[in-house]
Amino acid sequence: MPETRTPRDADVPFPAGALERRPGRVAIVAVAPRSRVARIAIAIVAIVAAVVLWGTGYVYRPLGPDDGGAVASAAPAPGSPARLRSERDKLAATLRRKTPSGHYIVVDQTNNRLYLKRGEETVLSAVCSAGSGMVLHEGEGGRSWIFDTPRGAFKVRNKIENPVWRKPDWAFVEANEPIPADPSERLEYGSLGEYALYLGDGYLIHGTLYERLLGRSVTHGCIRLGRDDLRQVYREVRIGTPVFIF
Amino acid sequence: MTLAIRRSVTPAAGTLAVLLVVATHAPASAEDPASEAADLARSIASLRGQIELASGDAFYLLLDPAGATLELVLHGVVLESYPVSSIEVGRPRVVYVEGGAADGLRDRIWTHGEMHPVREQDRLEIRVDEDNPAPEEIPVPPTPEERYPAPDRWLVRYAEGLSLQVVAADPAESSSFGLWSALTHRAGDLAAALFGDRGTRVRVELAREDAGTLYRSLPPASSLLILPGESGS
Repeated sequence: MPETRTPRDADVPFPAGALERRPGRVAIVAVAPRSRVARIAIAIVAIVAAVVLWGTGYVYRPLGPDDGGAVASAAPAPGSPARLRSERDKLAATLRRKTPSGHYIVVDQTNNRLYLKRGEETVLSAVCSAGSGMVLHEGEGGRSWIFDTPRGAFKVRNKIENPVWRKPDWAFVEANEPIPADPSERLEYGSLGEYALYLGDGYLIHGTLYERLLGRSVTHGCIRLGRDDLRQVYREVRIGTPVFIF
Repeated sequence: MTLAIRRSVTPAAGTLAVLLVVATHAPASAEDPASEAADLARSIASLRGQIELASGDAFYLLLDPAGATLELVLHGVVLESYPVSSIEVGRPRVVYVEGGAADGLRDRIWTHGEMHPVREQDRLEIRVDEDNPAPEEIPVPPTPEERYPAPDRWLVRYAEGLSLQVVAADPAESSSFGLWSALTHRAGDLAAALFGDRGTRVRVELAREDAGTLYRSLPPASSLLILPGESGS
């Protein structure tokens, strides 16, 4: 009977320390270079690579007064210091006038925070809810709505006590209900809370029946506030109060 | 005799006192007028830039090294202000050769800011018709932190290769995880220097919570203006 030789018995010289092949397994065989020259070459390449990589990247240092501008290295500025100081003061005053002197509202719609400010002071920091970003499609090929809260600068256009919600079409589509022909069937009482501030284009700051969801982006675009915070905001702002949403 | 001495000493002492008062209260702007004019010119350029930004409808960031703040602004109104613990300028280096330019960081408005990594928004889409009735309950969305987990470091890339890197202050840097994190960031810097825009980078360190808040809320395409002054002044 001829001698049966398994692969491991074959006369294939394995270097010392190599793993044996076993049926059904994939073995990684580490082959060390035999030649001393090869080992030295590999070591040199590794050292050079390390040095090159160490010398590559971003080098940081503290921002200094000379970092920056073209003005810093330009020719001396025209005009006497007194004239330049006057110009600087006028520009600074122009910039200061941009900040509202009275109350204004700032809404961070992603982090769901609302701030009532007066000058540089924060009068109220409140948790709110902004638009969910959800997309509603009315069947196939029908209308679509995206429930985002818009970013930008707005003003309080109207203040409303005990607001009544006049439900738009999407509210019926979302509930899979027929859109009523009678306008009075669109009216819903109590769901907007005790007060509302109208910002234009159908967007409001109003109350909610679901205060447990405050802090999450759940609305159809409006800003919802808790009852106590809404009361304070309503009492302190006036028609024309700026509202900034980012 | 004593009275005569007092009379002769007092006028001299008084003159000396007046001279001392004048010397100590001399205006600090007895500095070089050219240097003062240059400083004023920088301030004027910066204010003009701020007024230009305030006149537009886009959001922008103001980095104030002297006040150590990074502010989000619209129409000249500060919406959010974040204390900054360090501000550094980074220049790309390839095999020890530095690139990028240190000039032009402050007098220009950095425009077309794009965040990296991008803040992906997953929108829930609902189609309602006869075959697809309205869901009984729409799932409660995650919190802002769950929806947009903020990385330790993120970048805003602007036109002309400039970038702003925001780093969250992390006391865990000394741990083994912190070491791995540092190595990962080093690899990122290396890749950016080799394959990126190779422009100058300004790196700011914010408190962890602030870095996350800003990452989630920074409006797209925000601009940036760096004010005069040095960090720590």
